[in-house]
Amino acid sequence: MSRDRILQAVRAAQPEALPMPDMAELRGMAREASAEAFAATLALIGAECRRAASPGEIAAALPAGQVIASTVPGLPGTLDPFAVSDPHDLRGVDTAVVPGRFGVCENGAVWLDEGALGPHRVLPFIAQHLVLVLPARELVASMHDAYARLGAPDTGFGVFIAGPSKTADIEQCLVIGAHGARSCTVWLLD
Amino acid sequence: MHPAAAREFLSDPARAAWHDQTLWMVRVKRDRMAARVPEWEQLREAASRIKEHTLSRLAEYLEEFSARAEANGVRVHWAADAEEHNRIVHGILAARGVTRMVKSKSMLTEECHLNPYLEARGIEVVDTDLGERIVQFKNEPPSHIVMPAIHLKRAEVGAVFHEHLGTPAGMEDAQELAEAARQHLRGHFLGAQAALTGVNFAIAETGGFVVCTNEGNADMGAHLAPVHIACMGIEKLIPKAEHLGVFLRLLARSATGQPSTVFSSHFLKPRPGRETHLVLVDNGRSRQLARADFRKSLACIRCAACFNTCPVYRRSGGHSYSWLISGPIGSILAPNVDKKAHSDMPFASTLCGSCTAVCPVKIDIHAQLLKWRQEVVAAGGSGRAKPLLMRLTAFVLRRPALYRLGGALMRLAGPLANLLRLDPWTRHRDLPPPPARTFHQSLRDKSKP
Repeated sequence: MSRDRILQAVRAAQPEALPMPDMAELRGMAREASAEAFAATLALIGAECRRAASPGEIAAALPAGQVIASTVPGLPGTLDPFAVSDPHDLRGVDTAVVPGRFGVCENGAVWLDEGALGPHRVLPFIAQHLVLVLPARELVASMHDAYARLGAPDTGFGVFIAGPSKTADIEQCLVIGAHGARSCTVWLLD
Repeated sequence: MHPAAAREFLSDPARAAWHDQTLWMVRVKRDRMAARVPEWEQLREAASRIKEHTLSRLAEYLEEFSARAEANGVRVHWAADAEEHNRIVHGILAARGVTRMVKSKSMLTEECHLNPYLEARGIEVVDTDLGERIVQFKNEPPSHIVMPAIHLKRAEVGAVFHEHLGTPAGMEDAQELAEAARQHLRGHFLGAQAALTGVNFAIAETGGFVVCTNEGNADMGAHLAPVHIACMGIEKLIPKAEHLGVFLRLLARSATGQPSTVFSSHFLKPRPGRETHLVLVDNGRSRQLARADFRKSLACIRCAACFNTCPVYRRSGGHSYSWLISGPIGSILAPNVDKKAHSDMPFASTLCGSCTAVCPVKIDIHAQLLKWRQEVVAAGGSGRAKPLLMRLTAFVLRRPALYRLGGALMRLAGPLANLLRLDPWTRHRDLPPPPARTFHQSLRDKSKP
């Protein structure tokens, strides 16, 4: 069996065990999370940060005449992703509206997990535009704080999304809208 | 050989200068990002020590990881070499009647030559990273591990797309070209029966794995196709989820000067009713692990910061190297794969150490380059001229009179070398004029009262 052969080879090759480094210092560094810092990072990565007092305010800002698939409670779209059985049928979605659990100020990433995505993991990737909604108080400063918050994963899939999809593969020219969303708007709900 | 291939690359000076400056710009962006993180050096140190710790207990972590992944419903496969890896992937696809597969970036599958293996067996493989799709159309290997098509100009990309995608001739706008690729690849995402991705990090304590992209291509593939196959080298493991905090802070900043990749996807369990397969590949990694001098090369997270900073890579291009992972890190990995075939790669360096200085996991790249050189020379791999020259030098250095005579002659030889272009150095620039007086003469002058 290759499994045993590989493990045997690795065991024979690996040096004496070295200690696991202590993460306490990096974890414990004082950093402040703020909506201003978060919005500044989003601007840097080509995303837009907006604030709203209610889901209704966000709904009013969504463009009319579009196919909108939402999994945000109190913010219905025009297409219910729960009524779709095959993820391929989401190909026509113009805008996906998805609740984020928290945002990370240092890199503008928003954590989404399976619970928030509804029945289809592909929703925030296949839509032409992405709208993320999260409570304004749900911000952490750094990725260390993010993983401290996440703890043991309790979901089959989760993703940090930091802005719209992009590529610079042609002559290093930045193009927004590679395979995923062409724009990313993050709403902070007060 | 690297010098010959580099000569070809340099035969177009304008393009070579563009390549050099563009990659340097990426290096500058990386510096800017690193400077914004006050604890940057602490992060590098932590990353280095997490990787060293993991490598020292790799067997235990592999067992822990595979057990947890299986408990999560992921099917785990083990491949001792490239052949077995390809056989496993083909076996999964063939058993499910898959004829169309999309693939996101995976240097491992390049290393295993998976595409030709599958294509020879009737399976269409579509690379979905934009740069990889471009080089796939051109039937070329990637020239950079993060920016696979960095050796091409947009007019050439336009010509490739005109030929393969039917875009209008002469299309040169990056936005338009990327849009054409988006439309073309969307069709493939929607039609794929399986998706293959690489793995950036695999976490022993959870059995999950993380895939990072900017384009979203890994996710478009993996969440649409009924079968997801993830392939990883056994060195991609890290012990805990909290360690991701360290690596995700370093990866994109080091690679492209972004604070984060756009998508950092954490796969733990298959979608309900769907399959996830994970292939763990050794293919020489356990051999490298056994070499104390070169073990640390397995800590690499494939950010390519060492490529962008390397004066030799920037001025010679990825295709000048004999292995598909080029640049400084490729030059210390390749000799482990085949010392003879890649014996000149460790010499494609000035040993300036810039690679080591930017490496986010603190691999002593330039020191390992020097060690590989010593191994290559000890095995007689340096040709005849160099040992002969070294013997001649030793002969002269042992004889002061001859040395002084030589010094005097060299003073005359300099202008002659410039005139005749005797040395590769003088092909592009002149040797500086020697000082009028020798060191011995000036020393005598100084010691006079």
